[in-house]
Amino acid sequence: MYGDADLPTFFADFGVAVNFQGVASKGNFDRPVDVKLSEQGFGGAIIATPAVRMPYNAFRPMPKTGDAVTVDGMDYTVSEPTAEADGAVVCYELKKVALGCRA
Amino acid sequence: MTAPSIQSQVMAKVVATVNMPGVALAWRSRMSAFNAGELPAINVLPEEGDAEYLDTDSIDRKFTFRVRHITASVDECDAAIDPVYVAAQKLLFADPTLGGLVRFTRENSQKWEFEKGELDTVALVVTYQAEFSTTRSDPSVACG
Repeated sequence: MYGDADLPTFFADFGVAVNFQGVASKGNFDRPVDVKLSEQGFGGAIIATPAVRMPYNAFRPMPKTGDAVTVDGMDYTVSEPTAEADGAVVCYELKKVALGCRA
Repeated sequence: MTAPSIQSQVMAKVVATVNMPGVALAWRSRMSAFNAGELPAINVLPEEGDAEYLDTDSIDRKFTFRVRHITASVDECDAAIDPVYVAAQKLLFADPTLGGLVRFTRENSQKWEFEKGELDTVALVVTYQAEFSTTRSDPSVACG
């Protein structure tokens, strides 16, 4: 039987550093890239949709929309937090804080 | 080699007119996607052509084309694309005859498309219509 104390186990191996209000934790980061806004399937824009998944109790309080977080050394703001499945893991969609390409 | 049709010449003229190096580069019917480093950008696409027959020799044509202004920004992407739209339209309507190719060009409609992501991204699609006449036998020859 797993409990709250076991949640960090799922982020230990592949998790990246997440920092929020001076507190460090780990989360699983994804940054899928897709073509959106295409016209009849062409001429669209390549858009990345980064998100980090973390235990619901990684921070107290947890980040909310508009809060600044640092994920794997990059500064973002939280765009949209959503709970997944039983709510033990929260997915934070992320936005860049400034124009420019990801290193 | 045949001369390009008037509508094809209109496309070329529009792309050349709204191309703004340093602001937004314009493309003609670009199929490949734009990466973030290429934005803002403009993609000019043909939409449709209507034909009317008012005499025995010519075709009165209404050629509709779209100018897709695309950009990405941290926030308020509709505001971010607005200066590109304004600059492009000022260039386009500095000469609504497009160098004498058409009788006039008018703006028909606008549509915004949004996508959220790492950056907010918007396409402002402005539809224009150009009116001109060609001979019936050769769409590359203007008349009237």
